[in-house]
Amino acid sequence: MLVLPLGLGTKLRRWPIVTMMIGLVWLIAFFVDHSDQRIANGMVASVGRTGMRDAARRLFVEYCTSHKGKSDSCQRYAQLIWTGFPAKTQSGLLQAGAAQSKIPASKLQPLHVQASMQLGGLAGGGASAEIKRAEVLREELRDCGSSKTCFQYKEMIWTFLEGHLDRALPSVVHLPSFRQYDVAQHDYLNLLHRLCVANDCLMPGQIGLKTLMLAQIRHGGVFHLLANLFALVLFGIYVEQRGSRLVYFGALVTGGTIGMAAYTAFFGTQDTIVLGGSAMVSAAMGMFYVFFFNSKLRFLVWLPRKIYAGTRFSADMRYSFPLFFLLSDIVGGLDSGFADLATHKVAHVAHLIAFAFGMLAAYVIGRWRAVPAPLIYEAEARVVHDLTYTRNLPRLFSETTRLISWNPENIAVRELTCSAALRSSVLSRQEVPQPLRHQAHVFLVEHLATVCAVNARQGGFRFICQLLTRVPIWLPLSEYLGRLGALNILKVADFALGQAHMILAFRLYDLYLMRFPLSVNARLVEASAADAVAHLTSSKETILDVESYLRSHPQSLLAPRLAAWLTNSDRRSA
Amino acid sequence: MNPLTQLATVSNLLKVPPRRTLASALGDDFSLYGPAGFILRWYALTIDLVMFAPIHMLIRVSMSQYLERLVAHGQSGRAFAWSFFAFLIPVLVYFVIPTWRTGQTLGKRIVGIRVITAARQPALTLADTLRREVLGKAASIALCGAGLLLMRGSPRKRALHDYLGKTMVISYAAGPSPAK
Repeated sequence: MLVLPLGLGTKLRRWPIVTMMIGLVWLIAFFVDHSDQRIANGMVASVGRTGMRDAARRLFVEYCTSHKGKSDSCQRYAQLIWTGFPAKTQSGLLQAGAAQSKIPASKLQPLHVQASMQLGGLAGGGASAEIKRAEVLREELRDCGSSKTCFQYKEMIWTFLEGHLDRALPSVVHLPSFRQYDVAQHDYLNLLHRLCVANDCLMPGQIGLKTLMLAQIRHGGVFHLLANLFALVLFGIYVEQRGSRLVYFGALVTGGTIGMAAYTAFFGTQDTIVLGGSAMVSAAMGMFYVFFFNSKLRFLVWLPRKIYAGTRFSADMRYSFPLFFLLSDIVGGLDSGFADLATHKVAHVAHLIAFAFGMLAAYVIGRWRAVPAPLIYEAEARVVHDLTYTRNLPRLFSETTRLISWNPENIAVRELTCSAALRSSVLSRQEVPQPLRHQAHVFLVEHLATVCAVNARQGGFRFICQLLTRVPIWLPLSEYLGRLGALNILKVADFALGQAHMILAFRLYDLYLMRFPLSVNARLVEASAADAVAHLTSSKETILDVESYLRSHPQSLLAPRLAAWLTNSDRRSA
Repeated sequence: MNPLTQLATVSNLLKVPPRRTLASALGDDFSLYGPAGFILRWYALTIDLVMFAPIHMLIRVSMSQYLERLVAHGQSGRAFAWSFFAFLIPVLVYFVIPTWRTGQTLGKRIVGIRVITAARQPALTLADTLRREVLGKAASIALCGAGLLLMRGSPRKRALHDYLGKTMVISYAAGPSPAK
């Protein structure tokens, strides 16, 4: 089973140039700038030069044994500390088996460091054996079940990983190897700092405009890049349609920068290197959520039942977006700590901060350049405004179709065009060219029921009556209101009756009875319709209307009653 | 004049408060809607699981360390109770309450199906909803999905949890079917 979000899933009104440019810059940076590899290599080499891994593992073993751990078990679990990094090296050369760098070791000599953030694929070659062993250990620890011992080790590893670098655990400060560890850590952080200065990477103490910008362009691996590109395209292309491209670009860059900077300054540890465009993507998501709050989120669901392209569904943005996208970051941020045992880390808090900024930016833009609710793009509002004053029906139909392809929820333009088509009596006038009449007919068949349904939901019954009274009496309403629900038909008929639109009321009751003859409500509706017929005023116009209706709808269930009423009217007038 | 303001008022000016009329007295006739098939319900369930998972994880993840500690220290009963609680809350919030109040979960709403009583009435009781959503679905899962296969033989496409909750599921978004 697969559920794939498709954003708004509508046609774009213009090329998403800014989004494409950002994606292109990411791709170019990924293929041209290999700083992620340099940083990774540098980190590996620094760990080797400072002996950080050995010192940390020694400290862990002492910490573990001092907490009633068995010496051999502590040694075994120590492999989870700095997994894949090299042991202490002599004169800067990497030990065999540890992280065979793609860059010659001599080039790594000047500076270097560690960290563990989103830089994937740190180790390679001979380190893989240790990584495999660590994977087995992680699997062991994943579900300790009722093993108290397993849980104790797990908790010790977690506590050590969380606390050893930033704020030394009180219980490790007095251990014999702490001093050695402290020196190694100090050297290591120095090297890391130098590496970051040389490569302009983003980490605590290195927060500047240049590092923030570069960090948002660089990615730590091909999957990191592809995931961010996918999300950027999914949301960014629609946000870019909303208004000014410059504002969109500014909001994205500012949101991403604030998210990265706040995360690095307040939530990152000393050895955290932050990179990737996900904060920027989160800002785009925040804007997307606010701009299209009243729209529908489209997604594709694929079930393993046959070979097919999946089925598209739409969901209300307000509920589905937080559940689909936002909660996963909140869950990640709330993780009670064991996620540290996993190999990859995601800066959830940076995402959340950028998302909040994106929402705020969209709210401000929304207040500054307001677009009324059924519309979602500024350009859309301008086109609808132009169409309000046009009398050119072919243009109205084509522009409306175009607008609906941008925004299927645009009920305003549907109302406008349905009103114009019915007001101009295009369906009944003989002098109207056949293609135009056909176009109007097709449009009304497609959209009149939607307009009526939405207005019925919002209480716009008077508007519906205004529209429907203009449908020529010889045309069956069922042709245009075929998709209108039973309850809505009754509601509109009731309103028409209350407003003394008798002809419309019995046309609607008749529609109900013809469409739903087996309804349990049919008898009551028929009685109500009979009542409406009985109360028809015998004016000349009404008699003509009823005659016309009977001629064009001889199959109507109300035909006998109408015929009787007509006979009685004739008698009265005679 | 601001064109946007003008746009927004096209139908707003024509709105009237609802009156008590035939439509409000009769309500929707659920006998007109056809039963929802297995595939539609599978789509709804898939979407529901995707939506439900983060809500469940939100509670579960924040308690995971505590639960593991309880299990490791031999307090399995207590851990089970907490786990059950951590599962029940999202089930109530996501499945039971929306089904009870509206006959639809988010997934059902998206797909366009709705739960009604077997007597084709829209209002479900809380007891029936709990029987359907908790007991019935647990039984269907416990029987390795055999409860769902009942749908194949049932004329109104009712699964085991529908029988237990005295409910049925209709294809609501497709509208009333005149042929029925």
